[in-house]
Amino acid sequence: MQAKTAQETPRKAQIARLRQMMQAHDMRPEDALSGAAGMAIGFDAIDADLPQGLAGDALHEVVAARPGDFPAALGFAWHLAARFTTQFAEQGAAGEAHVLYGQTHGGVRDIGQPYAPALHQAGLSPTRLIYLDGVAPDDLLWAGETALACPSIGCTVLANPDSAPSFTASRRLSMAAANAARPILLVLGAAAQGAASAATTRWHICALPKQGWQVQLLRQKYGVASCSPASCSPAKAARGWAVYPARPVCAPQHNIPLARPHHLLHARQA
Amino acid sequence: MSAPPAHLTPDLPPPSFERRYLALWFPYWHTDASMVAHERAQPFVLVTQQQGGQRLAAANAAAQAAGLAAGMTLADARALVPCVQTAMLDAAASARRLRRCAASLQSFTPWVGEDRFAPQDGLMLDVSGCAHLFGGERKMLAEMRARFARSNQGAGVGLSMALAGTPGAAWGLAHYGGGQGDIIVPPGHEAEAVLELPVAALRLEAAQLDLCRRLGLVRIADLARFPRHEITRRFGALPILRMEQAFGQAGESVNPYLPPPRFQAIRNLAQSVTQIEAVQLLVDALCTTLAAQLHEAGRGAQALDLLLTRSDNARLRLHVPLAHPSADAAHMARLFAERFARLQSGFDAGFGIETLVLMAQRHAPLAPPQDALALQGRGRKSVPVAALARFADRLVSRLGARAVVRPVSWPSHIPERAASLQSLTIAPPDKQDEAAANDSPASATRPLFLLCAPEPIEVIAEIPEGAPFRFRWRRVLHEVVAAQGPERIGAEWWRQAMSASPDDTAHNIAGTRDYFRIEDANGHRFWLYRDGLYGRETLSPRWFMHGVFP
Repeated sequence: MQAKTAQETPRKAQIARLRQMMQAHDMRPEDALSGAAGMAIGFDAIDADLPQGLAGDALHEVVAARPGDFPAALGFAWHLAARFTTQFAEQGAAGEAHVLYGQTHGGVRDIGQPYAPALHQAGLSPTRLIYLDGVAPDDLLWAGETALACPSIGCTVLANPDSAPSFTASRRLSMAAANAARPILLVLGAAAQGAASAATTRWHICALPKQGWQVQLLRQKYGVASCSPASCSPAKAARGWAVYPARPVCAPQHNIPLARPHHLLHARQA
Repeated sequence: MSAPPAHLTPDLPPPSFERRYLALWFPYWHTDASMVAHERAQPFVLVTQQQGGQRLAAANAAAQAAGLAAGMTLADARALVPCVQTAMLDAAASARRLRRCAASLQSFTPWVGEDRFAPQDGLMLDVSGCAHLFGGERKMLAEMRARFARSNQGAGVGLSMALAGTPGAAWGLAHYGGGQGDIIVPPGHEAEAVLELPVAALRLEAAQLDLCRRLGLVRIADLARFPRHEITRRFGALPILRMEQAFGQAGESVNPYLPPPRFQAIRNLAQSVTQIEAVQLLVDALCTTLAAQLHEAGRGAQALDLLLTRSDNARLRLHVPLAHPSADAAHMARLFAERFARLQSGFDAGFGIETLVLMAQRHAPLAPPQDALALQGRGRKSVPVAALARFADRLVSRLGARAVVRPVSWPSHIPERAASLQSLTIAPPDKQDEAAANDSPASATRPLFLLCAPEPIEVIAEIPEGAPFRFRWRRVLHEVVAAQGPERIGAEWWRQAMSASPDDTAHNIAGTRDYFRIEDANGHRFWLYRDGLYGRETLSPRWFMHGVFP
């Protein structure tokens, strides 16, 4: 009996030490929940469900719900990017904050190029935007990682309508984001739905006729833990995704000044 | 008494190093190198605006055969040859092309010189000791001519070449030797080769040539017959000097066209390397050397060029622009590492790389790093600017300068002209301009993404002038739920045409566009337009998709 406990104690200590190492390496749920870096999204309906805000040091995925929804997903991502950048500039350590927006050849083919006269609608200034025009998917991920190492980039948006990065690549990006304490947004087409990913949140965006977007927070890492932080053990969180209850969050029209402007004068009688 | 042994004969060639000069002359350089599309076999002239009207600046072979010459007024030329093709002379572009041409000739000799007597259409090369690399002088000239005809600058350009022991003889033979063949004068025979040429081949001044004509002196031989003091008394000292230079009795120097760069690091390898990793290591070392040179001079490189010479004399040039002047060796080395990563598939070392040259062609004073203590507020700000420049450099060296851009808006009501993509190396436009562009009333109704070119769509509209009822774009049918418009955008009447569908040249007739903002049954929003006013400009208007709203 005595011998058994004597054996067990070092093993427990070893496990505790290993956990500590893992925690030091990995993103700890406690950190994710501390909420210091979280940012309110700006749409009341969603913010009510995200009390701790959106983590500013993580990888977020915005996915088009249907094939035609890629521009809507981009609009939402740019909205987030503009807010992140404003927040970053307000913290003020790095002077002017730029936004990096990169898209693959597929993105250029599908939706064209960012149009400078309309950029301020999305809350971005053309002089603060660095745009990567049609690059290979691998180069896009490399550029994202490089951008995280540059202190002048407030937020990075990478768009690829054709394919999602591999799990390893997204893990790499999300670790780089955590190290740099800056956000990175990955905008994917409908083809990428259901791909394995290490992103902290995954959003599905769907354009609604004569209304705003339908924004759905499909998955959130450590999401369940957000209800009761104490019950979440690191091992459980590391095992995979905690799935947030999937349900539509309909943002009312007046809440989305960015992409759903008031410019439809007459609706055709159905 | 028997003859002395052969090795003691006194008529051995002098052991001194013979210099060889090659003169290149492009008789119709301006017209041949002109980028304006024209029929080469037909008369074609370039004109300049001068006092008293337009005058010819250059004429091609067909035009000169028809009696046209530089200096004529355009009206005279038209009277002589009514069908003559004309264009304005772009002297700067012509000079740029000649400079590129000179640079490409550096694979034959390191000493490509300018031709002081024909700076616009001639080159002078010092090819001493270079010919054996190509298997003899004749073969070198043939190779040069072949490579020149293949190059961008040289395709279809007339060229006459002359190789001689003095720049004067080479120049005279190239310009007045007759024909466009290659003339090679054996060493020591310059005088005989030149004597039969017209006196203009001596590079004299206009007044002296005029005097020669009045005295009936046609050939150089006529001039050379007179005693020297007679010539000097009538003409001054120049003709004698030029004659002596042509005959090899007086020296003459050739200035290099392209001065060697001030900052460069060279590495010649005893044994050639083929592996890209090895090249990369060598480049890292070169970067350190170059950075040290730059540091010492207080300069920062704005653009780096790496020249790799293969053992078969082929050259590979890697150009790396920098957003900010830099003398940071680690930064340079990283840029080249990324440039190599982009190159990986296209790298062909052949039988190995023998010489590496790293040079900074453009450089600027290096701003010393700001001391954070001295400038509390501004000092902090300078750090991210440098960081951003370094970041931009890395992006450019890996992705290419065309992929790393910034959207810019311009004051124009034509949607395509209101925006463009600009390289990051160009300074952004003023904040005021930006504010003015954002304040324009139209900008609130513009799509966030504009297609690279308007795409034709099939549209069913209720009435011809009205909004679409349903449309098919990229093989998907969209039912229109709501529409706003039209927003009528007219062509710029002061320009010829508003660029429309690229597949239809007939569209270049100025078309008015009616833009509609459309929402389909799925909630997707588009920006599309009808090209041409129904009834007035066209009876079957075509529709185009031009942008998407988020």
